[in-house]
Amino acid sequence: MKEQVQQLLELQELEFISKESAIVHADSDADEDLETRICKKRRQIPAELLARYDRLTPFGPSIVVVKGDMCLGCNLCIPQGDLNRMINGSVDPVCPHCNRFLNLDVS
Amino acid sequence: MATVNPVNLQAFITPDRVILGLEAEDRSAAFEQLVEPLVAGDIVVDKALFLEDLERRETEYTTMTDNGIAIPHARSQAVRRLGISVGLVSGKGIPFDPESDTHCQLLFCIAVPAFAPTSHMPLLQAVAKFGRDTKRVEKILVSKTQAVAARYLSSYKG
Repeated sequence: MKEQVQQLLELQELEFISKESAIVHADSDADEDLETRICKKRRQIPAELLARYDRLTPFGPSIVVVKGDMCLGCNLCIPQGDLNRMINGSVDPVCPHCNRFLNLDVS
Repeated sequence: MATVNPVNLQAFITPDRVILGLEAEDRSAAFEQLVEPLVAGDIVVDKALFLEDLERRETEYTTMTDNGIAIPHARSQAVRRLGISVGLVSGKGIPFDPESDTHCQLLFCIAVPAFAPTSHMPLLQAVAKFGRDTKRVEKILVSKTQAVAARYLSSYKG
């Protein structure tokens, strides 16, 4: 799961860059290359995971970081026991409150 | 194009975040100078890490536009809060993108905290819009002092 979250993180970064390019290079179709890379990355991710990712995207970043024990997606605290289980890989790194994926590599 | 709420540039741009007469041989040297005010303002806590993130973001997709404006930015763990610095280039400009013949005259460097990865979108939109207005760009490039440049940018309402 950790590797899959990493893939989702890469996808999210590419999608952010695409949005940024749309702002910086307005009226330009130069980001075709980016779209190709996004499509390629999406094909590498399992469909079920991608569907969860896409459901979260309209509400902000789908993958967020945890500060202390707080999810920075919903600003609610995650029980330390749950966090420990996520870190050791026995449960999926997903916020129990907002369902966003958690990037536990960034503290 | 993504639509985001307008931002008040006055909240971000102060005279000490403006560099007049920026001179650099390439973009890495320009980044070094642009990051200095952000380090001094305690926005960037790890200069080396942020420079690395800036360079990586730039290699992903250029932030330089056809009219010689560059808006380098990066999400980084080295950033404590959202911040921006401005570089007004003297002379013929900086060869920012090796694949482009255009030299860069005006740079906006945006530091984005890793924990708020989309927080910079309104700021990015505001400075990108400013950069597309050639008259405003010409006017800011002849600013005599940092305060004048900062005031001119701050008064921009988008």
